Amino acid sequence: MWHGSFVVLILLAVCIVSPGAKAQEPNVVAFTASEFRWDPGEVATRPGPVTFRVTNAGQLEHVFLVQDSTGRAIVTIPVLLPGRTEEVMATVSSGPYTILCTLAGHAEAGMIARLIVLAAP
Amino acid sequence: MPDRGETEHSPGDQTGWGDTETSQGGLSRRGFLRTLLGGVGATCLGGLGSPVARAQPAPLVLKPTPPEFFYNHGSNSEMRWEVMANRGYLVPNEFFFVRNHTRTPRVDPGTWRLRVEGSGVGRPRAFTYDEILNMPAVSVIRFIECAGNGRSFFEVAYGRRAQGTQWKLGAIGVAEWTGVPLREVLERVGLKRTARDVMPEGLDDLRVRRPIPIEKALAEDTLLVYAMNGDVLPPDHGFPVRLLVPGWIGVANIKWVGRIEVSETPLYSPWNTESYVLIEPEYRPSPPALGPTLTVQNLKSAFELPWDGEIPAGRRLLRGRSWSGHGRIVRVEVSFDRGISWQPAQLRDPNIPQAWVRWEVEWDARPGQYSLRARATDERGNGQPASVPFNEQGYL
Repeated sequence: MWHGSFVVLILLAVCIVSPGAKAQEPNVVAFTASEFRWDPGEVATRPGPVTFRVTNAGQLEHVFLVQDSTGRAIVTIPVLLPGRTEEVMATVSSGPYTILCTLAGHAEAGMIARLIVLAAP
Repeated sequence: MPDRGETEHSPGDQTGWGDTETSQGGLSRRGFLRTLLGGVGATCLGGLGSPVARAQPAPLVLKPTPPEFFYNHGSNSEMRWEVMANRGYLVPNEFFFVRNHTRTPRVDPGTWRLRVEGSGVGRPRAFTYDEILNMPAVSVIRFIECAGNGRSFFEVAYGRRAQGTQWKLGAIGVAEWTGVPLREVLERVGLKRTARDVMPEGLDDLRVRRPIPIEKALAEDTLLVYAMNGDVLPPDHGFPVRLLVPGWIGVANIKWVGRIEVSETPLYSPWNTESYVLIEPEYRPSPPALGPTLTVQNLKSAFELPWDGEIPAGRRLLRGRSWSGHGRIVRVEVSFDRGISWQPAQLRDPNIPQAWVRWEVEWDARPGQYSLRARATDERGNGQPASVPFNEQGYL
């Protein structure tokens, strides 16, 4: 029996000492849509994979779009129904991003937010 | 179920079609003042006086839209076509579809003003509700149809869902609209010969606005409307005043209008640059618009039948309606075999241009499943295409 335990102990040791195996907390950035704003209006996060968790607390359908500083769309949730929460993943690098609802008039009415991705110190 | 018995409920049918059928196609002059003002005043005082519980957010649509009469899509309520079976020419206000980009605003007619301003007018000013009602009135019968009517069929045809409300065919209504020609108001503000675009703007929380060219703004049937089917314009349909832009896509008929900008230079809004444009590789963008902008509504037809419904077998009289933004419908054909063979439908009076025509066709309905089709042709020779190219926002 000690043979099996020895194997298990070695595996555990490998897990603990190998570099890069430290578990990263999943990076979740949450936004809430309503008429006509995003909450928060501005938020910072770190570079790398991010999960956008978006809730529609309003009464109208909305769209969630993330644009980088060149105006290129990074990721989108094309249909966000009232009361629903949807998630979408993307990889972000340092710099500013813009969060928009792309339905006509919604951004103009206030549905625009900023995401600042800060390089790790 | 459609049958030979006919009950005409609409008040429109009782006004005598001789009055409305003129060579201009449906214009008549009517006074419409004191009773209207009295009714409106009473309604508004009642509304403003009562305390409002703030626990609930304001409803998106104010009138009841029960599921027996409507398909409810959030802020939009689509008429069920079977509601019009054997009805008169006009759609009663309570059954008229509602298309809201946001919620219906409540506007106090006492403090409401219509501001008319911009580089295209010499004497900008604001008009009160009383001033609008006191101008010479006109009544016309015209359709208003959402540009996205029929959008749900893109997914059926292409397996790809176009963006926007998935209407079947019920985003259309015909009513008698009473108001003052926009031309009358523009003349009073010193319209310049150099004016080129006219942009009505709503008082809703998105300020939905969309320009029309000056020629269309000056048409004798482009109206500032304050009454619908003989009643004061209901809140969901634009109280106190909305635009009527005959034959054009629904969004041009701005509700709850509070401002009109008249410009010597082209005007743009999100509703003629980002939406209500045709987006697909074969349509070229014309900056700042993402694609060609939509104007006149396409031809369509609909049966006065429930979608995916059932009718008893036997000799039946099927009824439907067809419409075109370009003018009067001159021919309707119906197919019971998915478009292999077509037979003519009989058109019924009245047939008003840029409203619709009712038609009927006899069918010896044997038991089974059928896909019924109807196609119309208008007086300009425009037909109903068997299909249209996919475009992202699901128009035409």
